Amino acid sequence: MTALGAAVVFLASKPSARLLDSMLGFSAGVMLAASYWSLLAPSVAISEERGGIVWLPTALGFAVGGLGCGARQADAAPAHRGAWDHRTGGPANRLASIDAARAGITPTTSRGVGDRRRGRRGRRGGSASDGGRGGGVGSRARHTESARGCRGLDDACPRGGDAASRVQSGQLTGAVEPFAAVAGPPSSDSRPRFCPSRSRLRQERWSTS
Amino acid sequence: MVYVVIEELVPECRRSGHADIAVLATIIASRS
Repeated sequence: MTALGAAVVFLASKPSARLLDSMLGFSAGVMLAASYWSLLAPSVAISEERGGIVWLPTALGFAVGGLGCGARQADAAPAHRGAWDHRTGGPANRLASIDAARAGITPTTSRGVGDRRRGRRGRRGGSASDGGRGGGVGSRARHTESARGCRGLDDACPRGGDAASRVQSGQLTGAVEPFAAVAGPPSSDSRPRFCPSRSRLRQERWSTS
Repeated sequence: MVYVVIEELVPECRRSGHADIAVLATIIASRS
């Protein structure tokens, strides 16, 4: 889907700044909707099933993710200074491929972990691409895939060079997602301390034995 | 994703002076 979005540059070789800004705004809206419907809402739903403080795991994860992104941004800021923005003809735009790739890795890995865990518990859910838990799967999948397409277009359009090289750069931002989807499920095995369902099972085992 | 939207996309939209249409596109995308 990222490659499909990046391929739009073949239709408009020199898109206007107005079109690019509207596409940036559109991708921002899609990403906001996807981050809620694909990540935050399922997290709250799982917390409700487990009981306890419903909002705490989601809020903690959200805060840790924001702090991690802030720390990463502080480290990466000098690296962006040498780049050049071919759209504005000025110093670098900070929307580098690594940032877009980072935006793709986290939700893809999280969906992989969530789907693996739901699969173990025998609930309906599905693959890593649907991001869903039964009802509303289509809506969430549509948001996620739309976000990928818009991101590919946004990454491809502002760059200089011929259309093929710009499409290639847009496609590369989506190339990290298969690796993140594969790395997500094993991470739930290698870190049992961070896996609440396992600790809960362990507690139940201790209480019955 | 929220961080990327706030830190990267929103300032980028405002830079070239088409913030209004970008906001409209954001609203349309989030409600679609």
